[in-house]
Amino acid sequence: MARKSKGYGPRSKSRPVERGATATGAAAAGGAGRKMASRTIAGRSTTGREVSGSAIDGVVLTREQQRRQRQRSIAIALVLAALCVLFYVVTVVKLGPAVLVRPL
Amino acid sequence: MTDLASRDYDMPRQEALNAALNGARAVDGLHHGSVADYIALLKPRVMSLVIFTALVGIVRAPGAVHPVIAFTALLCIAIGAGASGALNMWWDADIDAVMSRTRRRPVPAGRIAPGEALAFGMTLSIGAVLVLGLLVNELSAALLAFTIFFYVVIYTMWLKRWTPQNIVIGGAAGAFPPMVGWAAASGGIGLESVLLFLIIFFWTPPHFWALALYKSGDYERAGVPMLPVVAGPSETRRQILLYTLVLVPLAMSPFFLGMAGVAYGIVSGIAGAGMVLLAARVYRRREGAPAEKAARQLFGFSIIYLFLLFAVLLVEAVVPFGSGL
Repeated sequence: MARKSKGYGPRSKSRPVERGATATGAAAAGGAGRKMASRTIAGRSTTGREVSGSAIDGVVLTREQQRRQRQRSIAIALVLAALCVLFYVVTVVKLGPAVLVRPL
Repeated sequence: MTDLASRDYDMPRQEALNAALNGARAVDGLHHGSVADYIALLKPRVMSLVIFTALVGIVRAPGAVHPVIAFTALLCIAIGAGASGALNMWWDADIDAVMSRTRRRPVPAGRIAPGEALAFGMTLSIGAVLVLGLLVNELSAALLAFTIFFYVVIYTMWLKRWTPQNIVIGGAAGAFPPMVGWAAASGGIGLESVLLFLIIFFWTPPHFWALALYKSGDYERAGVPMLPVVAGPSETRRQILLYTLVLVPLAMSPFFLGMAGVAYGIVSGIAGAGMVLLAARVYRRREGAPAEKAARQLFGFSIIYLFLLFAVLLVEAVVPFGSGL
């Protein structure tokens, strides 16, 4: 795993957690359960789902979760771009020809 | 029958909530829903009706409004309506999980965490109100903010689980969009916008009670005190007929007050007769499949009825000779 310095290994007590894993154990264990619910072994989670090799603070996304995250990021970018265009156009409309009639 | 209102519904609701959440709760508190799930949170079908009625409010308002400002107002109203839907799904996840009609929604199905729905709804609500206030006018922004507050707090959090009159009073939230549109375009509130509000307000009870008649089992299981659950189907049928008898002349009033043309008068008269006919059929047929069929027909036709009324108002305002028809 990418975070060897944190001690994620076969003998480590704390293991990376797959994002989106079920929380039956985690919920019962409270905060500590965050690192106990589901572990990854050789690129696969104990739930059988394939996981990617990248780890963020010990949390590993499945390919499907990565795909959805990318889709959401693209959607947010598009919305922000549309908002920029909207504010620009509305500013022009509200100012109108008066934008040229002002003291320098 | 009123005993049903005080029945203890906590157990089935809690079981359903546990089932929904245990099956899907993520370790990190996030469920990683798709873009489609977030769009579903906005209740697109409800949103389309809101956009349509708000558009009519904008178009019917006196004075001229720049198309870009009108579009901005419509966008903000739509986003505000969608945000209300997301907040509604966040709060109602427990009862949505036990109703067949709603159990596949993103929160009870576990595709989106309740916290995510809350954050999504709050962000959109604040954004829509702010943008409407900054780019259009303050009155429409204040009305939109009140609409969101009314739908989420007054209806969803308070009335829905407390009184069988929930959709009567809560129906005001769905009736505000044409008034918001009118305020966005004209900067004020006119008599016609109040009439548009009243039409949707009195349309809501027969529309929802028709649905509740054949989905009463769902509502009873979820502990929602809808009229058929609390007062029984007979009283619901009587109330549907009474509200329809108020609605139809009210819907024709824009024509009689000279605010709408002949086309509107004809359409509202014929479609209104259809509404009364179907409401009377619901009142008469009380048993078995014919009763359910009558309720389904009224529910379906009520949507067409409202669409027709507002479509004719739109056409009359847009087409130069429309009001002369």
